[in-house]
Parts: sequence; structure tokens; C-alpha cells
Amino acid sequence: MTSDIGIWVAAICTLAMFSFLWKENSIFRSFQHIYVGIAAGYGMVRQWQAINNMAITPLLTKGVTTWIVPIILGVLLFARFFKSIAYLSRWSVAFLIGIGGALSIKILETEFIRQAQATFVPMNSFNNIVLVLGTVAGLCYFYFTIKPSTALLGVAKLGRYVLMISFGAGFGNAVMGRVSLLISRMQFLFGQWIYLIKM
Amino acid sequence: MITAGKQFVFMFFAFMIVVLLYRMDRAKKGNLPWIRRIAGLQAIDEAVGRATELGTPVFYVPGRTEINTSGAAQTMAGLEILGHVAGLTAKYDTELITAIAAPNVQPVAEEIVRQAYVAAGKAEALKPEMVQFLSNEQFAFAAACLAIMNREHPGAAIMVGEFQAETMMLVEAAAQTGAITICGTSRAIQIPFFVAAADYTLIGEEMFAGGAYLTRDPNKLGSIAALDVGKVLGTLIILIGAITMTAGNKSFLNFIKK
Repeated sequence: MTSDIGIWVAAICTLAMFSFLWKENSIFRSFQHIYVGIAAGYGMVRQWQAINNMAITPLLTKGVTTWIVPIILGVLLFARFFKSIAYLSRWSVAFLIGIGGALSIKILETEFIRQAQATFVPMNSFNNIVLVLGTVAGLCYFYFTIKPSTALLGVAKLGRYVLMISFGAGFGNAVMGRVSLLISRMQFLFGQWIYLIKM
Repeated sequence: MITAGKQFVFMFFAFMIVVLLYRMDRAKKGNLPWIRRIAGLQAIDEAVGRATELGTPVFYVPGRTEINTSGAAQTMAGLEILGHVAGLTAKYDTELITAIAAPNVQPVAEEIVRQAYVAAGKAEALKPEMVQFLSNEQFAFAAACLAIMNREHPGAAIMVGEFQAETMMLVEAAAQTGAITICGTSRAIQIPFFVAAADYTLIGEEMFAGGAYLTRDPNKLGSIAALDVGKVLGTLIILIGAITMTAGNKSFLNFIKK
């Protein structure tokens, strides 16, 4: 067994979290709250470091005045805590939503045009035929305002099956990923903590 | 003038703006488009009703993404549905718990819930705990959501927005407490978890149609109809591209790449 205090703490935290597999209990709950609390503290420090390193330090030491605008917009977010000037925080929120909206438009290229382009394949093999017809059928499932004819209903139904098959494959893939996470945690407990297996 | 490789994208984008404005204008003039039934959205009223009957809260998560990222569209779709859910909880005097992971989503969610309660004439029922910021750390947020669900036993858990690896933890915890679960995301890699564990799943585009479907707002219905035009065009582009490639002609592919 290791004498490293850090590994002991990590092992106890791991076991406390795994205790949920038995049932929801007070040990699990205590460690859950500790985890959330630590994450809140860590998040706050990280945010402060980001603001300090990215904006305040360049402004004060290098005189990069362009940072005044985001700093003011950031400070305005706190105006919501004062009723008389609460409306000022909406400017910052509107600015953020504007950025989000603009960034979302990029999806048109990456997730629509480029994906459509990826289906431009010669239909001379089973794989390619499945790729093209599966994509078209999947797309037909997401027609919301077009009154479906019998043919469109059939294609949309096929699209639904295509989606479910791909979700099944995705689910299996993700489960494999989760199992590997479990294996690495077991290796930590039995290898680094109690030396039951050789690492 | 337009960067090489972006010309087709720009043309498509410009065309979609024209279609969007036209369909919205048509809808505002009373030509509302027909919209097909979406089971997951239909079930929201039933889920809130169930929570009301049981005297338990409705637990809502509008995703985990900030509003100033490329995932903002999903968060906004989640917030739009939150407005509808808050309207229902206000109407039925049901408790609402909204869990927030992104700091800049907090004021927007608070405002949406406040407006829904004011619109329902229940401003006095508003409580600060209705919108709770938990943590912007992924698994700390998930752990906090689990704690709330285990403690409060919500009758309905509705999670619509962008989610990542925490999906299974959230939806499993909700299912274990016996809540009706309605989940939605357009992250293809996370949808399978919702499909496997939730009672109803809004798959991708279905959640973007949520606002229009639930509110029947002409502007939103018009925008959904415009998106359908885009999807039909996308279908045609795929078919023409595949057929021309089968014939050994790359001119259409080169046109798209422009």
C-alpha cells in the first residue's frame, strides 16, 4: 500500500463516489458537496486569472486600451444586482448573445455544406449507396412544415431507422469509452493505491 | 471580394436570408405553415401536469454551454423552451428548479422565467431559487444536478440544450427518481444516451422547432418553414452531387467548393 497522502485522498474520494452504486448515502453526498465546492472555488480562481492575465495586466502594464471595452461590458453584468441600474446589464448580455448568434452561423458551412459535400461519392458500392440514401432519408425525417405524401412518409420512416442505427453504433462506442475510464480508475485503485496489480 | 472556397457558402447564406424574410412575412400575414407533430414537445405539458399532480417540482436544464459560443443556438433553443415550461409552472403553481452551468446564461434564464411568471400574472410566486447557478465545471455541475434530483424527487426533468459527457449521468439520475424525462440536444454523439434513457427525446432539429411549435408565434413558424426550404435544397444538392459523381462529372463538386 502506498504512503503517498495524495493517492490516499484520491482513492477515498473514488470509493466514496463509487458508493452510489450501492445506494444514495451520506458519504457519497458529503463527497459530492466537497467536489461541487472545490469546483466552485477552482472555477472562481481560474476566471479571475483569465481576466487578470488577459485584460487587466495588459491594460495596466502595457497600456493596451482596447481591453477597456470588454472590462466595462463585464462590469456592467454586475449592474443587475442594483435595481436602479439593472437594465445596463442587458447591454452586455445582448453583446454576448450577438457573438453566440454570429458564431452559430459558421455551422452552416461546417455542419451543412461541408457534410453535404462529403456525400458526393459515386454510387458504385454498397457503402456509398447506403451513405447517400441514408443521409437523404435522415434529412427527410427533419422536414417539419412539408405535409407528407405517402412516399415522403416512407422515406422519413427509413430516415428514422437510419438515425436509430447510427445512435446505436454511437452508444456502443461511447460505452466502450466509459468502460476504459472505469478500467483506468481500477488500475489506479489496485495498482497505485494497494499495489495488487503491477503497473 | 469573397474569399475563394466561401463563395457557395455565401450564396447559400444570402439565399436563406431572403427565404427566411419571405416566409416570416407570409406567416405574419396569416399564412401560417402547417407543422408536424413532435412527440417530445407535446409531452412537455403532460410532464408538467404530472409534476403538479404529484406536488413535486419540475427540474430544468438548458444545456451546459455559454451563450457566446458556437453552441449558443442550442442554449437559446433550451431557453426558449424554458420560457414555455416556466409559463406552465406559473399557471399550475408548480415548483420550478432551473440548473445553470454557464455564468452568462444565468441572467438570461432569470429574465425568461421572470417574464413567464409576470405574463401568467404570478409575479409574486417568483423565487430566486427557481434559477440556480451550480458550477461551470462539467462533472461538478452534473454532481450538483444529481444531488438536487435525489433530494427533491422532481416529477418531470426536462433537459434541452448542448450537453457533453454528463448526459447519461443526468438522465439516469432523473429516471431513477421516477421523473418523466424529456431531453434534447443536437450533439450527435450525445443523442444516443438520451434516446436510451429518456422517455422522450428531441433529436437535433426538433429542439430548434420547439419555440415555434410551443408558442405558434408566426415569426418562429415562418423561420421553421424557411429552414425546411434549406433542407429540401440540401437534399437536392446531395442527390445532384452523388448522381454527377456517379456519372464521373466533377463540375458540381467544383461549383460547391468555390
